[in-house]
Amino acid sequence: MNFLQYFLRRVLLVIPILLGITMMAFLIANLIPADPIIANLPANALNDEDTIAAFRKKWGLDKPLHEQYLTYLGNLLQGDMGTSIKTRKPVGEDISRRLPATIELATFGIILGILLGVGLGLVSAIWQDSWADNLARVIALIGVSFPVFLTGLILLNVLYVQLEIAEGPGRLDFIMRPPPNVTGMFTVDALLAGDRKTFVNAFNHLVLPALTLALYISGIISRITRSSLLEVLNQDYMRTARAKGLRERYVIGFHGMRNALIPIVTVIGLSYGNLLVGSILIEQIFAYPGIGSYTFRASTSQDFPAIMGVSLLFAFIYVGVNFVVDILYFFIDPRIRVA
Amino acid sequence: MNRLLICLALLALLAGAFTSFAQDEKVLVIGHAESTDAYDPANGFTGTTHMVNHVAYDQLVTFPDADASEILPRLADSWEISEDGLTYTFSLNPDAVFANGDDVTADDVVFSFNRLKYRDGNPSFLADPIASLEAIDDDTVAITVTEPRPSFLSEITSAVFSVTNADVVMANGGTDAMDAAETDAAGAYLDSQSAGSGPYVLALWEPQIRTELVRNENYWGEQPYFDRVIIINMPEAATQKAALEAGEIDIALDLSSDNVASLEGNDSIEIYRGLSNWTHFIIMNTDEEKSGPFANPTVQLAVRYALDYEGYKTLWGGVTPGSNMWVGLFTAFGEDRAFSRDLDKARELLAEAGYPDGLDVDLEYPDFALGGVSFNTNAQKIQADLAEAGINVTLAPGELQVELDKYRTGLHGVGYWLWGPDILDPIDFTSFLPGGKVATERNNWQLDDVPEDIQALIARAKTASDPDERMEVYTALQEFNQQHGPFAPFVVPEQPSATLANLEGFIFHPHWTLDVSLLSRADM
Repeated sequence: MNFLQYFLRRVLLVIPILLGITMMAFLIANLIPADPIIANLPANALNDEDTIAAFRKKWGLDKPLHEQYLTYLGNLLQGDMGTSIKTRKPVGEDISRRLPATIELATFGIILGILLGVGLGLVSAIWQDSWADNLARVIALIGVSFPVFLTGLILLNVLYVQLEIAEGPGRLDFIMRPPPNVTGMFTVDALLAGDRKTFVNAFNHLVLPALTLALYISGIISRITRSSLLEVLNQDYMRTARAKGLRERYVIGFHGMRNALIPIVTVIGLSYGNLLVGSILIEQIFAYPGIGSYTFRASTSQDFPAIMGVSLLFAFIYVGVNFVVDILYFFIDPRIRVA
Repeated sequence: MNRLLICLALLALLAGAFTSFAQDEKVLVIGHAESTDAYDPANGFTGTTHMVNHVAYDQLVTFPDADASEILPRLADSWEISEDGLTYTFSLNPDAVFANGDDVTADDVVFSFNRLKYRDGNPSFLADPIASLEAIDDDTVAITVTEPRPSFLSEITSAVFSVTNADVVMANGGTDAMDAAETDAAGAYLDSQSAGSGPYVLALWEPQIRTELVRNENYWGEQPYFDRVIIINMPEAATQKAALEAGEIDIALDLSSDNVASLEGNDSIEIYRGLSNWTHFIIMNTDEEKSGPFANPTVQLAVRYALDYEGYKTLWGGVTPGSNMWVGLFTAFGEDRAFSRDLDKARELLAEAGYPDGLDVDLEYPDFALGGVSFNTNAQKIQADLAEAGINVTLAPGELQVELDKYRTGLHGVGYWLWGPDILDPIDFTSFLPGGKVATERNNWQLDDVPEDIQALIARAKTASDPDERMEVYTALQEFNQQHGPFAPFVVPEQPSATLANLEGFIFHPHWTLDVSLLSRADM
């Protein structure tokens, strides 16, 4: 298939998906029998008609539902995602301020997760059924089955409070100032500003939450790596490669891994989505001001504009990640290009 | 690339905790689950807003440092109440100045209160009782209320009634006109910086991230110890505890009874067990269609006798309330007047009501926890307690918002909820009397349902201002609710906080939580 055609078709498909997401998010947010007025006004203000009317008018809740939706869509097309009820700032601004923090964390988390997951998977597959395999499988099992907030709390208490070898909550020490804002990612901005001290501090603060996320996703990555590599290891071409006299690391690295990579890449793509979901709890635990803690707050306070905004964002990221994974297939597996 | 990152990661880990930061500035860092909706005094109505605005602004009058037992002067150094109880005349302290050096005048008071009233912000309803305001001269202001209001002075201690610098607020789009709801544009300005006369000035608010206060160099009172106060949003109690143990914050403000226990014995940390504002109670709908047999006052009384009050205290600390009036308020029944468990009496009452073989009921409550106090845990205990009296409880938890809707519209049968006083005055208790918000709107308990002498007492409760009369009226009304009311209050849990041991001056207040201007750090 022509790559450009394939690319354009995928891009066009994104539009109805996102439109569908806005509609779903809007309906779900409005169908649950909870009232944003009750969620956002103090209890005793609920007796005051003027206060309630002012609130309804301000947030457009006095209009019929379809009208609210169309207004939302209209504004959205102009790049206006509305104003958060809770922060009183434009949702677009909130998201752009908080997203870099989450991207920074998620990127660091996925790198750690891949290193850990693929590493454990390789060990398991190569030394199948040895003690190393068993150990790696136990670690993987713990990784997938432990709730992220529990892992986060344990790491926080052991490495930060008890052993004092890691930094704790937040993105920086509380008395430090953020580096000049360029990308919103503190490590990158600190490097750009040539501020080594801030870089190290920001980096240190990423370690624990990223490690928590990495443990969470590495379990599934290592299991997939192990099983798909084991399947490949028994193939005839592996025996042939060894018979040719290739060194074992090349046999595994090039003949083995390359062929085992498709399911691994798929699961890594999916993990990135999990990472976002995981970040909601992780950011809450680590007082990390990213999109996860924003989502948590928005959903517990019926902050419609913010909920709509993050739903769209998450959908967009999921679609984007799947898109990237599809493109990666193109390069990893020549057979896909033919088909 | 990966190898580089691993090296960096190792390096970073080795660099370890380098938190020491030599600075002359005295900085206080507070870990707190921020609830701020706004810092504009006419628009913010949350615990965090009150804590910050209590020190960023001054109010006309205030409470003592630790409780709500009396009214003390602040901007007003004296006041008079007219014979008819309608007009309050305040003399302002002539020394008072705003942070920018401007004098605090009667016009500023008139502007601030009118702006609050007309802005239709979250706390605006609190200004509803104000009929008119008049600046008699620069230092004298008269406030007239619509009807005698014994709680008025208590109410205006709130940071909602902060006096703002009218010139500054107007220069930034503010107005106190009657159409302020549409035309006032000073909200964004006041959310990021204050325009008050308190010991601190709001310097920064990043919503749900941090709030910073700096010392007001022009403060007209005694200068506070700390130059800068940083309030970091830490939504989880466990995170606050970890950061306090690591010494990275000075105060973990919102701990819970389950996680404060493990801090005991740690010499570098001091624990404070304040009393939370929350009274937990069972509510039984007076409408028989909603709650069946539980609309019967005899059954309701049986429930009060069946609860194991000591057990809830073991779980959450705190005290057993004697009524739905928050135990910290003037006239409130405390533990000495609270119910004690009496299962025989409970069974006897059930038999008397016609249910000798017991009853079945669903307990509706929100599936959430506040300050570490879990509704699920308490509901299970209620289930166990009532089972011993022959009441078979089925737990019916729901999502918070859903249950809240049901509760506030009076659709529940038998529910479990909590209540924190809106006003630190006994008048708050009228919510739990026929005609009041909880009793009537939420629980269908009508004025006609109670005898005429009780109706008369309720009317008196709303106007009586003499302390002796209030004591008499509120005592009678609490006694009435104990015997005939549809509520079973069972615990006011503790609200633990902890600080580093070298921090001095921590006092928990039921309204503004903490006055940061009272804090200092001992030399170690």
